[in-house]
Amino acid sequence: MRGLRNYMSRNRRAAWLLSVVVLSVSISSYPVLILTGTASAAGLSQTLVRFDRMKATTPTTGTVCAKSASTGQTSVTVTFPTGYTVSTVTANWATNTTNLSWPTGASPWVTIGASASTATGQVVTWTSGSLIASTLYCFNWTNAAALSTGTAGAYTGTVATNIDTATPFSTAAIANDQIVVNASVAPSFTFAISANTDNLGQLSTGSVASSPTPRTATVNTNAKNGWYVWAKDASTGLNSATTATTIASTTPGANSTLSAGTEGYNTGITSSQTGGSGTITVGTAFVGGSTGKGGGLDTTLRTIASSTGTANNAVLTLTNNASISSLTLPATDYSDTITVVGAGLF
Amino acid sequence: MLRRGIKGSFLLGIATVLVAVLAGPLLPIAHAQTDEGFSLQVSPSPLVATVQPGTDTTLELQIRNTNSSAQTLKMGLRSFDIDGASGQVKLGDAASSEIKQMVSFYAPEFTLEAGQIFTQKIIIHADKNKGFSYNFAITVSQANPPKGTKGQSAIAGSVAVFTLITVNRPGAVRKFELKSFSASKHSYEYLPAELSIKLKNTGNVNVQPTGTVFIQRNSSDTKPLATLPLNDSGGYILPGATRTFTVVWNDGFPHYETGQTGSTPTRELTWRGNGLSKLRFGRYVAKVVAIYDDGERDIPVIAEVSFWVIPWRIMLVTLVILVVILVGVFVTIRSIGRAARRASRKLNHTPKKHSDET
Repeated sequence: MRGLRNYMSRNRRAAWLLSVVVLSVSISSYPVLILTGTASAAGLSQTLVRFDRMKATTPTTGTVCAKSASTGQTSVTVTFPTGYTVSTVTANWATNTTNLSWPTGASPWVTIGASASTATGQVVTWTSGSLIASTLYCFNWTNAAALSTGTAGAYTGTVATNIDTATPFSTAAIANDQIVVNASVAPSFTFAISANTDNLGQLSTGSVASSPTPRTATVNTNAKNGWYVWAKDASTGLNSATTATTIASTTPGANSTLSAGTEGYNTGITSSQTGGSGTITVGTAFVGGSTGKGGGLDTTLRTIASSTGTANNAVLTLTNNASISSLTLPATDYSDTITVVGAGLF
Repeated sequence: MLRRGIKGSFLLGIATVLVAVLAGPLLPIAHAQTDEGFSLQVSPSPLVATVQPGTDTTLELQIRNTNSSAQTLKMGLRSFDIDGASGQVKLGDAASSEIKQMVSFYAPEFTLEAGQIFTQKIIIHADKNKGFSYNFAITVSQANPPKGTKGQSAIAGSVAVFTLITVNRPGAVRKFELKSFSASKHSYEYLPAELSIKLKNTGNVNVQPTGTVFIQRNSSDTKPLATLPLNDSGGYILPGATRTFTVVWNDGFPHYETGQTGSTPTRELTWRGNGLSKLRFGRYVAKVVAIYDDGERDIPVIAEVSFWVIPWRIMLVTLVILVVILVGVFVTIRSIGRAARRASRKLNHTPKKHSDET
């Protein structure tokens, strides 16, 4: 009995000592447990996974962003939604830190791995540098072969680091994420004559009179085959009804230069162009550029200029020239009507 | 008497007011058309369509007044021809009676305010039993064209829209033949090389050729150096007409670039590009594969032509540089040789003191 009592008292002492030790260990480890518990419970304060394509079952690139309250990260792990097809080839998970319309204030992820270090199942991990707390970091995965979206529906995944616990993100796959924009541009042709009148003034034998303000014909067209401009006149010369005389057009169909004192009438053309694929050719007979130089018009439409392509502000300057001799009958009503026609070629 | 006079004056007044009111809107238009020029935009230009025989087909032509004032316009029809020798398009004065019967306008005359757009409806009624294609020009011109007045000439404007109509009926033959395929020169110093493909429409409807010109080293090469589109501007050849299409190969280093300063064409040697890999030298073969659709399948027409590219100035400069280098090397070697010989001679002539002493 005494033996039993001694045994009991020895055991009680041992139990007491054991209890003291356990209590001491518990008390001393309590702050550590608290700290450990705090660290493992901290999630990322902001996460974003943006898929560049949201169309169902479509390969996509994308962006991962996260903000941590901690530092000391060495890796980042994204768990993509179940149903998405995740490549397990780590090389497919190549990254860059080009700012592709990231959220405002986002910084390039610190020392993100050039490609994933592991890719297993839905989980992809990259090596990472230590992040600055409370800063939003982003990186992109750049190869669409890495990931394909799932069938249409709502999905969730997580982002974590070796320091920060998994924080969920939500996304969706939809039937179609693109808007196809269609438009057509018809071939058009714009033709303008700067003014409808041209007054050569009083003609004299001493000089060749030319249009004081030469009129212009302007072409704008997207017709790739070019354009034509033709011209004719009403009476093959400057006609006076009162005297029934005509200062005849000089050799229609051939280039000429009028001389003072010799009766003649022609139209000289010069050209310019702001832009376009076409090259303008002025009809040989109508090449102008100097006083009295040009070609005579008659009642048949003649090609005065053409071009081989499109035109932006192709301008033909039409200068009418007239000269008289000492025998030209006096009259105040010498006049002509020139018709100019333009067309885009087929 | 006085009463009658007052009544007469009253009636005259009303008549004057009525005339003024009625003529009022016309006067500014007439005035505008004499002095303020002419400016129109038409679309599409050209107008290309296929119509069913024996029924009415309505085509639309959009007309926009791009002038700064109102314009009263009228529709018209003209014929046109292609000059066989020059390929120039000759616009005629009037359309044939067949065309005049076939074509009508919803609004033969109309007024457009500045900036206003009007969609003209053109009704085509092709005869059930004849004709496969009809080609003519639709004109939009000033309804009241200016006329020369005392001492002052007038300039009237007009826009023509080439209209190519194909009638969809049995017996239509789509066909062309290659008249010639040539290079503008036998040899070029630098690109571009200009290749001309002359095609003649031997069918009875308009054709729009497509195809490719392949630039190769040899006729039998399977991998061409360049692939150039034929008729990428979508031009048409009218029945019986011949049209020359030009294809330019300018993918060389260096090459000439053409432009236009005012009315003067310019040509400038450009050294931009991919350097020596694009330096063209030697004989090249251009092979054209022109295609038309005969209604059942695509029919290819094939021809080839060869030309040379000899950049003689670059070759000359290279040759001169090589000669200079060779001469330099030769002179250097010779001078080294001479120096060596001189040195050895010196050595040979140096008295052998030691042996003398012994």
